Amino acid sequence: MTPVLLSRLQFALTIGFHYLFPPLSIGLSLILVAFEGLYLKTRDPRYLAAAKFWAGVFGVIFTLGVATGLVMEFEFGTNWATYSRFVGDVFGSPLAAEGLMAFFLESTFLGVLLFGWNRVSPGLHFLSACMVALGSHLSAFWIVVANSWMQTPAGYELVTERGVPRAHITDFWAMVFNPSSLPRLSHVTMGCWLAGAFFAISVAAFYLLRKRHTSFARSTMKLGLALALLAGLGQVVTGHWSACQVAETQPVKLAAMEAHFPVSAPGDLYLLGWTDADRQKAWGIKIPGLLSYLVSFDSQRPLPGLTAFPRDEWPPVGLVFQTYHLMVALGGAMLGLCLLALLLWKRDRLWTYRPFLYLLLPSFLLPQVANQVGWITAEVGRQPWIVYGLLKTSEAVSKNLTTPEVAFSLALFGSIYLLLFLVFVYLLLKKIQQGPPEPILSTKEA
Amino acid sequence: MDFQVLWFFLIAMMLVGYAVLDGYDLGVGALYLTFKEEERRVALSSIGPFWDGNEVWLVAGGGALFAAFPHVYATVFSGFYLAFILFLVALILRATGLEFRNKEQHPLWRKTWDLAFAGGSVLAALLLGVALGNLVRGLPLGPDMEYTGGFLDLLNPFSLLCGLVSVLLCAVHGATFLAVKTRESLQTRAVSLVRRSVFLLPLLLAGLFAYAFVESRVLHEAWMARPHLILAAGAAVLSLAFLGKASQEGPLPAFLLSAAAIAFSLVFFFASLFPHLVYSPPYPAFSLTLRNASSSPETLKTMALLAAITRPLILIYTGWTYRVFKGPASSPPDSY
Repeated sequence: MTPVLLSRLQFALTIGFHYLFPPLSIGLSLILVAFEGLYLKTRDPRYLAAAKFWAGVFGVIFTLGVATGLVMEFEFGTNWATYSRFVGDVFGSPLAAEGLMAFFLESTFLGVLLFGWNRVSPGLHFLSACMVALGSHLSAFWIVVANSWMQTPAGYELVTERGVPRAHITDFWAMVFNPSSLPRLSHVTMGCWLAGAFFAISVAAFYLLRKRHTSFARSTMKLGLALALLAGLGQVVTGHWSACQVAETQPVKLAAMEAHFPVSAPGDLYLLGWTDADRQKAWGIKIPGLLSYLVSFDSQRPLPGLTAFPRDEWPPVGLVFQTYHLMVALGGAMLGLCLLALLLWKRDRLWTYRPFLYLLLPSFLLPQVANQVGWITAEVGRQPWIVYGLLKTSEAVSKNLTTPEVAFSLALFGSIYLLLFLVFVYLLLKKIQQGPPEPILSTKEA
Repeated sequence: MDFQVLWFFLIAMMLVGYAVLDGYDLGVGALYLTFKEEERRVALSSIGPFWDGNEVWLVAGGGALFAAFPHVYATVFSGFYLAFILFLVALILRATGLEFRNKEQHPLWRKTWDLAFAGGSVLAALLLGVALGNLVRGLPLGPDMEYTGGFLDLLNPFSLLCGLVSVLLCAVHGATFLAVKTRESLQTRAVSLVRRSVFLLPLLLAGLFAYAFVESRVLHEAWMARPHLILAAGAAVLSLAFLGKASQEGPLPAFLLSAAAIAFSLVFFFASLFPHLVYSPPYPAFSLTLRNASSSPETLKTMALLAAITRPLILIYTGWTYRVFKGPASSPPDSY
């Protein structure tokens, strides 16, 4: 076990665990804003109770997002010092912007959101919810910008300082809006909305099955479904956009995603399959020419396959192929669930048709898994590069790290995160078990 | 404008802001285990709406350091590897501890998270002090800017003393904060804690500055070349010395004085290090300074513009939330 491998494992663990929370808070922030807005407009105390419930859930999720996000802010320095020196200009800037524009906004207004119910007017409380939602979206913006620069570097020049190569920004906006920023940002944001939407749907399904808090469950289900449908359809568009961008700027990643080996041939699209990179083979159910058609509207268009690139620049093909296909399949499943739900809603059977509610109950897992495997596709698909075409992952690690040090920190994070995960699940289940506060229907202040 | 100097100043300001703000909630954590159940609930609700925003000063400071002085970000955090990982774990534990302890009645549950919150707070304050002590003392760097020492080298007597003083300063700052934000038994307890600290703490801080003068070459040189630096050190010690008197005037003056003591101590250290960010004692040529460790001028300029736009906004809405939560904290905390 080398420090590089252990550092990669640690980064995968810490970012994967962290990424359970921000998508939920980003998605749920919209549900929260919707309920606060509805309350502001109608003054119906049931909406206030719903907003209070979701604010409480949001608080628990946000705490873990903050606690685990703190690690991310510094892990580039602790484990990837050489990378940090290389990209400080370019990667540090969006990270700093995230702190200044997003973190202060969300954490400050979250205080008002959670503790200010009796201290500010409903209008200001609504505003605070909006600021929290805005902050969490801005945070996604800057972090995806930073990551996109690692995929498709732009707006920089390479200089050597004290014998160390460094990327200097030459054009700030070209760096911010590098070729993959917008397609990836939209894809990631929709993924976050799906996480929040299906979480709300699952909670609503739980109450409908238990016949508890049914009015709350109905309004939550409606909002969740609307958001899920919007984001689910959006994923078709943004997923397509992202794939076209990968085809153009990271062809070797696209080739790995579809296990496309020939030097140049029309690309097929697998629905399901298995691939062996050493034997350069893939098996499965495929639609010939569909990959070429999707990225160019020409099913005969030849695409460069993996063998067009040096073997040592291939990402791990099997992992990228499987995670990518799992993500797509889960996206399809989410969309399918949405459409079924709409059909049942139209027939007014959604609220009582138990088999379908049982199907919705675990549906919160779909976007969570899709988000995780989608990011694995994106990040593992970039290997062996940490900054695509410029810096290899193996050269980016901190030089002074030893194997025992990183093994220790990995074990420490692993055990603490396991504990936090169990506590998180327990607290969330408890909150859901409790349900929203009883709406106070009198004139008394809630 | 000299953007390298500006960013040295801005990052120093962010760290001072972090220490003054998070200092009081770390301090509440350091005192926390001496409180009774009811007092614990009040103490937690007094920092509830603020601690997260306070901690963002550190996160934003880290991001700004990455953007403005990437070599410092890389050298310091990889050099302090184990210490820094422990610091992160401490912050994770205290955050979850303070948010989760009231979510369940069971005594074991509460005891566990109380320990996590208090232990995490003390460890975080201690490690921050140790890290600062090592920066003041200097870190041996190689020609490739990498730290050449090991973990145990960080635990030298001077830095450990810095860690101890850091914990005590945070504790006093936490006490003056509680005196402002609480009433009845907790307030009484906090005020008496402040009064008991006024003899020992100024002497200890003055002793630390004297020790630094002997221990740190860069500080020694800076002090000889710029003797007026002693004003900052003196202001820090005097702030502590007048803490007892101020607390007779009222809780707010005492809080402002404990904040001033922390701020002046840091200003003294940062101004003494200037223009060094990381001083390398055996080979000063390998030191990281604001000249050789910064990002490109273009980046520094862009980020300065961004800070100029966002900073005032942040101060405005942060100030607004302090107004919203004006007055004594109550128990149980406002629901969430």
